[in-house]
Amino acid sequence: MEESLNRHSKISAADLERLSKEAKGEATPSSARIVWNEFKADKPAMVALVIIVAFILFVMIAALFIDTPKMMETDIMNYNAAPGTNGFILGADTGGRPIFQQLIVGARNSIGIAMGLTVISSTFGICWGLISGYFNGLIDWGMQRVYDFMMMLPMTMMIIVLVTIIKNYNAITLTLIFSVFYWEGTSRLIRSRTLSESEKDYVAAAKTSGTGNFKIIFSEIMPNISSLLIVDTTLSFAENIGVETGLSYLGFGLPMHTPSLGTLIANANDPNNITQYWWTWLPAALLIIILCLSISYVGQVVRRSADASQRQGAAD
Amino acid sequence: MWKTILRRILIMIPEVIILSLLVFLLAKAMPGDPFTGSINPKADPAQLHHLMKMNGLYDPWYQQYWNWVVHLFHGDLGNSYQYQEPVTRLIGSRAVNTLWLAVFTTILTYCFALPMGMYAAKHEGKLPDSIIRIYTYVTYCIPFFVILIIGVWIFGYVLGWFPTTGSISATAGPGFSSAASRLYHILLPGILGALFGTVNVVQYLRSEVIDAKRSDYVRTARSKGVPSKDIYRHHIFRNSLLPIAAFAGYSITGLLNGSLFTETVFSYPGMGLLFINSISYRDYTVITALVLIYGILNLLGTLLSDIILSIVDPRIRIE
Amino acid sequence: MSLVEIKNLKVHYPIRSGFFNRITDSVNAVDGISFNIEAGETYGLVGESGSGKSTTGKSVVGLEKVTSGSIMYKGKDITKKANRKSLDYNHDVQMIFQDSLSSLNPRKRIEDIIAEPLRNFEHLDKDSEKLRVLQLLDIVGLDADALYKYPHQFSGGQRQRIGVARAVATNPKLIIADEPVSALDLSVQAQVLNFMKKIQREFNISYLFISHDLGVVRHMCNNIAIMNNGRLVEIGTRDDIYNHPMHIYTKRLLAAIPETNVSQRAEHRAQRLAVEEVYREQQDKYYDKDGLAYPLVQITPTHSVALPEALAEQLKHEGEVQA
Repeated sequence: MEESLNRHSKISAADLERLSKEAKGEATPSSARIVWNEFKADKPAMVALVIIVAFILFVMIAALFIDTPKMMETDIMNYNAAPGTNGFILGADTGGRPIFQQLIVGARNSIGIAMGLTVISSTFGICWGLISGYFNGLIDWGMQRVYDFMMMLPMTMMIIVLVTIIKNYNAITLTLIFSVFYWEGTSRLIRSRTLSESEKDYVAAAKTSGTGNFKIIFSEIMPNISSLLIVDTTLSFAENIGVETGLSYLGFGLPMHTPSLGTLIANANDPNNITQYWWTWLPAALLIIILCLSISYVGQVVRRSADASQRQGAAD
Repeated sequence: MWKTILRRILIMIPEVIILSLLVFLLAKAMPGDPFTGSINPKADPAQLHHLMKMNGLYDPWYQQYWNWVVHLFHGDLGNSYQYQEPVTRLIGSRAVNTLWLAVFTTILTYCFALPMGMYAAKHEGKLPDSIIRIYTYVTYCIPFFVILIIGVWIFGYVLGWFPTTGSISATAGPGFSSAASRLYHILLPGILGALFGTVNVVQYLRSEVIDAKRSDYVRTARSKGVPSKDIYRHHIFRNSLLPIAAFAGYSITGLLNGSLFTETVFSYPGMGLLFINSISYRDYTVITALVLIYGILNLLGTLLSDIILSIVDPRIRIE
Repeated sequence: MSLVEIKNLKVHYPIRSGFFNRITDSVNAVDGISFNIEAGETYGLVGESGSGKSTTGKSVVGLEKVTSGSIMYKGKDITKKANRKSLDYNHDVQMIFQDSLSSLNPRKRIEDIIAEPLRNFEHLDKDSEKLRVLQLLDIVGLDADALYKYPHQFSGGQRQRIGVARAVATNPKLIIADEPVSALDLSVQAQVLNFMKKIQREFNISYLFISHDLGVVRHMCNNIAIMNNGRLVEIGTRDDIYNHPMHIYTKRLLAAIPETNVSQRAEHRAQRLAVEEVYREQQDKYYDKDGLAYPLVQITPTHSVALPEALAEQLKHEGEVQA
């Protein structure tokens, strides 16, 4: 091959450096960069993104300076202290514990669990969908039956039962339990896209080029559905904030003495709190709403940017 | 068609069997027993032992499972340890409340979603369309239990427009007065559920109508001079109605799963609240029965929707 | 010995139905075909869409699961996956696809696309790999700046050249060209075909050239097989097929070649209608009772046609008289 190529092409090793430098000058930005440029052009979305990132960093760092066990000690003297009194910025709850500090630690815990849940369940769901969609036939059939079965399970109930079975659970086991039940939506979305993607000729070309199945799945097909992956993961993150907080609200999420946005909202279960001491639960509720809305807003704009770069022909 | 439906139902059978086994084993794995706390704390351990034995709690698990299944087929789900009454009767009275709320919410959802979807499609790409899209999107993103709490706070406690607990007021008389009281109690959760659960129906209807708008038969009708109002009413809407109706199945299963939250917030005596209570009392018989019922209802709801959709919409086919 | 020998190849797709989803019937995409491809030649496989020609091509390159029959290469049956692996079969047999856009991964740069088979089969070091890619680009007539661009930045003809560059990267012995130019403009078609021919001469490659267009095939192929409903109806040299077609289906295809000479338009049309008339009248003579082609019978050493023995003799005779 080499001789015949050398014979028929006037390019030789001597030109290599010059030509590759020339080509670098002409290089096209990758589609990820185009999506990013589109995203940057959307000013409100950039503001939302900056606020989300700043907020997450703030609670992560601020929570380090709060002594949680000490904060969670009961202080009868400050029973339901109103906001602004006795140095309580947002008041105190029935146990005299400061709401503002609980909010910071709670947000840290809730966001942390939502992130962990998103990483685990999305990774699993993406792999499941890719594999199930790429290998049709028996593998797909089996994987679909498992999917059907998981869809039938009443998720919240199953999680509650599991949480009561496991005696000493913490944030990590809790995240794992949630992950068992929250990969299906992603997997179905990814599977249907993979099915149509697998029929395209570039997959056949990769096969004839000797590329193995798993390499085709993860380095040929996956980049082609990357915008879908990013959008879906962002939206799952917003949804997953509701998962942990919801169960903590019911009393089956994080243990009582670990603050979470959900346990704070659970203060509203007491009719006295919900009517008179609104500061014990309302800030947490509003925080969840703002977080979910801004994260999914960012997700929406990412989707729009991906669509726009698609119109330019760069993305899939 | 009938064959595919029958096959779907046949595939459901092993699923239900696995579910029942799973649920049974999970319930067994839960710590504690139902008697220690419920009877007189000074009770004799021998008496406790006797109670456990009487209830077959010392048998090997497969024996217990088998007994459970046999009783299941006789319509006997056992006795609730907490309430000391047959589980079937206990759940029966609660199920009526839960289903009543779910059906009511679904009807209200359609009342809100159908006009919105039609209106959005009619003004596709214009301001009303964007507003409706943002509305459905925002309502979809916010975790529903937060909405329920804020709703019950504002409309229940602060404004006092709606009752905040129970399914019927204690003073309600028989007949019409009782029905009205029941309706009054589900009004707020129903409206909230409907206002915040429109996204699926609105978006499906919108895309369905937009497809129809661009289809040849509508163009033909338009070119023949049929007024636009009639086109929407007689052609587009009617064709889109059945697939939309199919969403009722999905909608009810979604509401069932949300019932744990709704019923906790409103202290509404349905199956969801019963489940939460039974968990704290370790009332196995009730827990297993409820998980099984919810699982089967999930299956049936999805099956119903899938069947309707596959009949009316050739794009969606049962595999 | 031929480069590739296809024997009695069958590809059937099952139709599942009934209560238990049993296989109740099958679509016979390819239904028992045999032919040989010689080294260095271009073998044309012609048929209308749905005739099974693409499925045949995909089977030869190893993309399709074969129901029965064999494809022999270097004495091994490559319908078995293990044999393909041990031979590094796709190092020697490559494919050019019809849709140049969908056959190039839109998320990969041209360098990575062309280097893909090299990375899997030749394991070169970085510089010699890049040099090889640059030379390949040069051979297919593209500049070096193409290296870091994406497929969508090229025109259809250029993309098809990139597809060709990828296919020849490992210096294969055989390239399956599945309708390589039918998605291109006429002016570009000739360009791509000519340089496929040039590459063939320079690297001594065989092509299995799949097309529905007998005009293009005439330009490219020495030997031609005509396919209809999963079976071969006629095999022969270019001369056999174009000047002495025997099967009515071949005659129909030939009549369908567009005539560029406008002055003879009426005459051409009359001839086409005549062939169509004969086809309708004599259809049951040329096909068996299930509407499928008969087994091939040899007429001359190079020419075979799918006809009952008697009819073949008769037609051969008529042909000689006419000549």
